[in-house]
Amino acid sequence: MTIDLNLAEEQRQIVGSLREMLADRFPVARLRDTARHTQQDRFALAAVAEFGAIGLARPDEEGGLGLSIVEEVLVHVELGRALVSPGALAAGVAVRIASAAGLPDLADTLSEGSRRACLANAVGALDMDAPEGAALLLFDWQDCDAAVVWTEAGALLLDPRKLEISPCSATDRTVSAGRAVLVGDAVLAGVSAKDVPVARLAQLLVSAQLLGICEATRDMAVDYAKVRTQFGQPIGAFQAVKHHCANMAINAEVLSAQLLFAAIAERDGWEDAPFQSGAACQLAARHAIANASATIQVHGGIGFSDECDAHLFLLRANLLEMIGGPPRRTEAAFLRTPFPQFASSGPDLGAARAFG
Amino acid sequence: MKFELSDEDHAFRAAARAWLVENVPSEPAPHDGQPAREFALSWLRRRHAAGWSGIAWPKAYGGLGLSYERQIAWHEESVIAGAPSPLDPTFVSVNHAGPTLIACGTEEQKAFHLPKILSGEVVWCQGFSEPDSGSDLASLRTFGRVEGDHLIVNGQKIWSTYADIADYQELLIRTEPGSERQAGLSWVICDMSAPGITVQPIGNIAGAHHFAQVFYDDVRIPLSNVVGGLNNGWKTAMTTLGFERATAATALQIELSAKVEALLRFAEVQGDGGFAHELASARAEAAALRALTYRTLFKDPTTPFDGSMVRLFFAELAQRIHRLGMQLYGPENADCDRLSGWVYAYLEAFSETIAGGTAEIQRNIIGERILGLPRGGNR
Repeated sequence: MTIDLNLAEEQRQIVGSLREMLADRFPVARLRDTARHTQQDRFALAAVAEFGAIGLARPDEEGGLGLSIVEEVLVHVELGRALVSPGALAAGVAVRIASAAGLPDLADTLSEGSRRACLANAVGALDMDAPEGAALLLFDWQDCDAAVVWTEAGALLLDPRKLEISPCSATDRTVSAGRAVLVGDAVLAGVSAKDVPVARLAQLLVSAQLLGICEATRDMAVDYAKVRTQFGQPIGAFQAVKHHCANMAINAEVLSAQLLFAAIAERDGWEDAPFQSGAACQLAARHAIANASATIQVHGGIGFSDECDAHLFLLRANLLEMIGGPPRRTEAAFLRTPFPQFASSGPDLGAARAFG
Repeated sequence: MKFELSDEDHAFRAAARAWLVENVPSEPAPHDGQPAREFALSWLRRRHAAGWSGIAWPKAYGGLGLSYERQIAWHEESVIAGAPSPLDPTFVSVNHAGPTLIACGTEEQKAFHLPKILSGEVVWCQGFSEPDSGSDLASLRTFGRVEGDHLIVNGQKIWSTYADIADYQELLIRTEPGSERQAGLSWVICDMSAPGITVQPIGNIAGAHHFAQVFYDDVRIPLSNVVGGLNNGWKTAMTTLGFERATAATALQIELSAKVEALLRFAEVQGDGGFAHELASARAEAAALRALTYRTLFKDPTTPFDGSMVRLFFAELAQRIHRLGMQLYGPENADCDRLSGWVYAYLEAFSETIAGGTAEIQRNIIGERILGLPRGGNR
């Protein structure tokens, strides 16, 4: 048995240089100006594509870097840390759908960043066999070339120009939103979950971004607790604050362990890959929201002010939680996912009287 | 990042599985007293006779000399086969005392004790905490006076699990007169049958009597029983922590996943009891605990082992999962004379956030050693 859950040198380098580039050029503070709606996070998306972060898991012969979902997950952790537009998630997913649906040109251009994708979330039911009429909510959709929407059954690539999109606002005010009704004309391609497990891959990338939020907010709180002084001591010396920080560290560590385990399972085609990514998805939003909330608390008054970025993480985490379906629905799906390894095992500690 | 099984791994697992299926005892483990001792020793003897004892112990000391990975594989297969919980009267000897002797003991100590531990002849208990020294272990006062080639020990220990059925105790005492804190302590092997020892079991919240107070009244312990050097006991005690990697605690962590799957099957039979959210959480958290356990165990082996996160997450999760089991099965207790089943496990799980470093101490350790937050004077 070879177990090595440490990052390899190449992985460390990708993560390190992407983190540095984003922190340097796109600090989260860029999002404080709410007027940015209209311009979106276009420059950040372009820089991310230029870095090679989109479609890096495509095979060499398709112009990818021949890396895997594991590296893609690591990349999206960094995108989550920097609160890059959900367009990056959309592009990562859209490239897969385009490749599978025989649209290599679209896949190539999305990877390079010369074309852009946006996320569309189904509001209510979306039947993949008869998608027309489904209500959609699109994020950062202006001037995009493709919109991507998925359910457990499959995924669609849409041409947003064929949709009648009416701008509205999103709970996360750092992204723009628009409502639309799906029309048949707009469908560029569709794939079934049997051919490409889009929902699962997307789940991994969304969870990765949530992990990025989880880690970034932990770091913010810990850094602040070391320098903010009250009662003559850094507040991090007080157990009440220290224990908040410890909880945040556990939240991040637990999620990170499960997420990378799930990514390895996906890469290596383990039988329990759907279970592992489902588990990561169950934890991701909860841990990210808990950490973002605790960060506001640790920062005190400044945390409640718009000068502190903690709330930006909080709102993004809440938005990402809703991508791909509301939590109750993903919960039910997760409970139906088999966990073959322990399926028939487990001590029956129950009461002796079996009822039901 | 890799997690791969080779053909030999599959063969090892298959052999373990085949043996376990045939040999796992069908009756439940008794909670306390002599029956608990007999049950645990007999299970260990059976494993030893078949060559499954001390999987990751060095060959020189009677172990199989295999890797942590093999040890983990064994634990997983044991869980899948429904083997008795490893948190039994042999836990301290196999996971704690034995490894400490291997690291710090003299050849005589090793030659005498290690074979007995592996073959299931003896039960060990731990004697660290005192009535006035719980989280603040270094304030302990039980004293051993050097007299010729013996220590004369007086004092009191508490929360010593299975002290009433133990043959030996890992006893941490002050041996240097006037010493303070971590200095001047010694880690000694205490023969529990020595004159002057009184053991008083204490009932716990689950209705079991497996921990105890131990009183020492002029107990004579040979100096040759000191492990790791006189007045060097703190270091010996800390050395043991390095052996927490891949110990039976790992099996408990992995076992939670199997317990949640069992609850899920029960909930399906029962129909939706409105616990979907709790079940989904428990399932995801137990899965993550397993991933975190692997990550912690196989972190760069040159780094010091720090199990505080995995330990704390496990402890609190165990309480949530056992409570969920109790909720799903409803308020009827199966057994008329004592608590059993999920409620027993639920209450037992409360020891996890107290014993071996409370949840609060674990959070301090995470805050200070992992996150680099300052130690507070005024807490």
